[in-house]
Amino acid sequence: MELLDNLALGISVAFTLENLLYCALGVTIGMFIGVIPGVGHLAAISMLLPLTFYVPATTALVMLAGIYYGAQYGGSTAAILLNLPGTPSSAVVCLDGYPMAKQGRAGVALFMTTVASFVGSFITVLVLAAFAPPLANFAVAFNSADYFSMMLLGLVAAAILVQGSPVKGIAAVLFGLIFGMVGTDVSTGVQRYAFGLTFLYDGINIVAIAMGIFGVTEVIANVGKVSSAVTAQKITFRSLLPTRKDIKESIFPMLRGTGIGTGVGILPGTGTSIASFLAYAVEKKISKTPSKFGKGAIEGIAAPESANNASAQSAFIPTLTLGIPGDAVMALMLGALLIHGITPGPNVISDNPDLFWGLVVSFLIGNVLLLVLNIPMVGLWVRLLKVPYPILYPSIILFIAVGVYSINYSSMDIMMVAFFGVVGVMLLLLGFEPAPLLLGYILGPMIEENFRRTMLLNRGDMMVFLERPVSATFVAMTLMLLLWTAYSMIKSAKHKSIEQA
Amino acid sequence: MISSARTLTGIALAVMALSVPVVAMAQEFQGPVRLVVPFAPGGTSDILARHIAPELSDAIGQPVIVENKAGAGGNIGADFVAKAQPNGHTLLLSDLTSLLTAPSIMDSVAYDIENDLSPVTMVSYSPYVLAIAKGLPHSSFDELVEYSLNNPGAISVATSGIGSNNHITTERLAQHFDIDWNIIAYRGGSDATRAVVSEESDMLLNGTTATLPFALNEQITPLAVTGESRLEELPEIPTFREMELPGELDGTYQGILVTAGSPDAIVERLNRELVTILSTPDMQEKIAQQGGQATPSESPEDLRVWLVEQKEELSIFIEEAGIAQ
Amino acid sequence: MRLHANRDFLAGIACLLMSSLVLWKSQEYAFGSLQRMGPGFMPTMLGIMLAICGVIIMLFSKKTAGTFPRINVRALFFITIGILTFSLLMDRLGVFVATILLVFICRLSESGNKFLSTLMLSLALCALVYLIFSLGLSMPLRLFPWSF
Repeated sequence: MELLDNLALGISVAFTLENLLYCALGVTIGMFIGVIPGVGHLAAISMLLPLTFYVPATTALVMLAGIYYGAQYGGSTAAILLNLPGTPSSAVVCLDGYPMAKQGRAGVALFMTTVASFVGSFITVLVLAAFAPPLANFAVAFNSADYFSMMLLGLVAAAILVQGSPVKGIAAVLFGLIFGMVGTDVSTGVQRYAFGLTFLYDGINIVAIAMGIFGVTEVIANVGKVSSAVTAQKITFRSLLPTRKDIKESIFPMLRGTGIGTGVGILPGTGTSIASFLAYAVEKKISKTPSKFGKGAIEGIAAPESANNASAQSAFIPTLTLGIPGDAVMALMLGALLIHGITPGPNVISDNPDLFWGLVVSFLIGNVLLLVLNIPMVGLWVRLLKVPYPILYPSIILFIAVGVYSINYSSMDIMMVAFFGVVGVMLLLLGFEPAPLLLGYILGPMIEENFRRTMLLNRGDMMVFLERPVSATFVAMTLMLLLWTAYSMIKSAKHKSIEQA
Repeated sequence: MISSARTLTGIALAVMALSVPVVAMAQEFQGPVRLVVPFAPGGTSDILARHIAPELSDAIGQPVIVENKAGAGGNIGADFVAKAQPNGHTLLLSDLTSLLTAPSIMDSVAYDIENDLSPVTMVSYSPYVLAIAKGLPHSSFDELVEYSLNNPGAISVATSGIGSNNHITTERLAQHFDIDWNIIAYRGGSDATRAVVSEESDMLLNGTTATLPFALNEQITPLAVTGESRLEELPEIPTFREMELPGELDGTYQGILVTAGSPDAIVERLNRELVTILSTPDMQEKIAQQGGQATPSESPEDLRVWLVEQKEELSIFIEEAGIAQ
Repeated sequence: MRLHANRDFLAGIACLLMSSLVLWKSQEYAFGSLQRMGPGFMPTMLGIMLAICGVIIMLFSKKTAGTFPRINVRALFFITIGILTFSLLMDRLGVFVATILLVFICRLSESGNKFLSTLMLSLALCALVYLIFSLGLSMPLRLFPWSF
């Protein structure tokens, strides 16, 4: 009953004309920002922050949050159409979305990612409304041993992502882990592999890596070979819509993705990328036809896309209920609250129920709006593929460069894009896959930090990973996955040798 | 005689009349002013900058643009201002301690705070709260010290990063009592707070914005505060000064600096305008909401003296304690 | 592109090269102990693991190696130079000059370009960048060589 009262309060707050307008404005800006690769929502939100000074705190947050989750919808657009991931989580969508576009199913892919985004977000907002405080307490109980074990599971997921030779896949993950070490070591303050370059002290910009090894490499591979990004095809209304089979195959992946996304998202500091990677790995692992993945499997876009959006929504749980921001965007939201004189912390919900519940209801409104706004855009985006490649590719390169610049206003980051473009070509030449590298890069610093912290806190006692229930669960899952993978590898090897005989 | 005196006065007046516009020109702003924040949006420096920018813009009649140039613990933004045109149109609003400790902590810092940046005014001071995890039995700082001395390495202290001001204050306390604390570096202040709330680490020293809500909610136990006087919200909690602890005035100091070599008239004008802005009740209220106090410097020289003293003290301590590599 | 060594053999060499760079640099960082790991602990471990991977890849390379994909070296060169030029010039000469140069350099990747069409494209992109980033997102971009 309390929930209904709260929702009634939220409805009364969210359905004022001002809040509805700012919600619509926020999600629309977010939608367009998401589509431009590289322009992070962080940059966009910080640029638009001053606009919110003159409106009440709730209205300000309604708009800023709208930009944040709105941007998650569009993030996969460039990934599907041009193999151009603006964020690491949309790099996962590249894996199957881009092959779908090449097969002439770009419209279907875009349609399904919109639906998947909506499903992931909407369900998670309902979870947020019902269980935010207990979930937040669970999130706080997670300590560094648990984080480490979870990241370990992530590493095994990286191995599952690999499509070709497993050893080369592991090598790609190691490359990623090594790039992840560049910069200031959190535990000691030593600058590692920075070669005295100040711009490397905070590590290599992740967007520069993703854009370099996916986007720039793809452009270099395509120039001169193709006349337009994807073989020209007739765009009919029909070709944009998913078939009944597509929908049937996507339902469970979306729900699983939502579950994974919600779970990962409530943990501060994990970000949306790990959720997408994990969701993809789970789908590939449980699929009856894992060989379809990487060649345009619809599950391969539905699951990570809903995971990505679910985790973006559930990231609000620790932020709003505890005042502990999971990432820079969430820190900025708390900053917006501070500017309006609200101190973030564990009492925000009880002190400002109208803020919290108004925001929750605005999330629901915003997501419905996004669904309605995005579906008609699908046809428009697909037409982008008809642009002749000689016009398209210089534009892509330019947008990558300006987009990366917008993150830190650092021209050094643009140089890093060029560097990773060359790295990407080398990887392509030698047959190393970019996706495991990216996941290694994301996981590396977290694995190292949490492992070292655990060892410091427990005097080098490794048993702690098995003593804590959460950690032990993750370790067990990791082991099971490893055994399963080894078993299926042996089985397929036997199968092959029988065939050969 | 009289006539020559008159002539002289006349000439003097004429010179003064002529020189007034010249002086006025020298302190006028010729275009937009950048207020560079060397940290990500949403942090203390950023919020201060966003409060100050519109007021400063009204005062000088030019747009004031807040730019975040985050990275390398504030050094990328500071370096940017250090290398900007010395015309007083590029300002830096930053945490002052991190600027001072950077040369001792980092491998290579490309600018020198004393020679490449020139002070304008201090902006604010926020005290620290020393708090422990709620599972610990200690109810006073003395008890914590006694326990720490009897159990070397048992108490783990979360800091917001190596060389951060709260790390240095922690080391100073440890050195003072000859305590062996297990110091754990986290990724920033809110990560450190999370660690103590979740009882992963045992103790922390952190700004009031990050700690007070949890202390008032009894999720962490405050034991002491820095600053001149006790906090209004925690009247029971003694100050470092009362307990005669080192680092009694440690905390976060925010200040505004400008590219060195900027015209004195412009720097003086900036100082005047900012002191006026920071003295308004409205601005003081805004800073108080963030757990700070507005502390404008009387003159740029005041801040210069303070910076030199602090730098000396910090670098000696960092070297002695072996924090630098 | 014809090489005597096969693709996976070279991939193994690449691993070994990277590994030796990592291990060589890691000597500067303290290794520490399991309880108190230094900054050199993880690099050393990763370097050794990568070296092992490299050796395994090389050992089996005869069996596993596929063919090299064709790489458009010309595109690689000009696109890289285009991005680098842009990054060097955008702060100094403004985003418009940098954009025009980026487009012209990138289009050198293909033969038989028309000057006029490239110019039109670069001007159109200048307008887009201005509208989206400068006007729409109010990003502090230096526009012209003479602007603030």
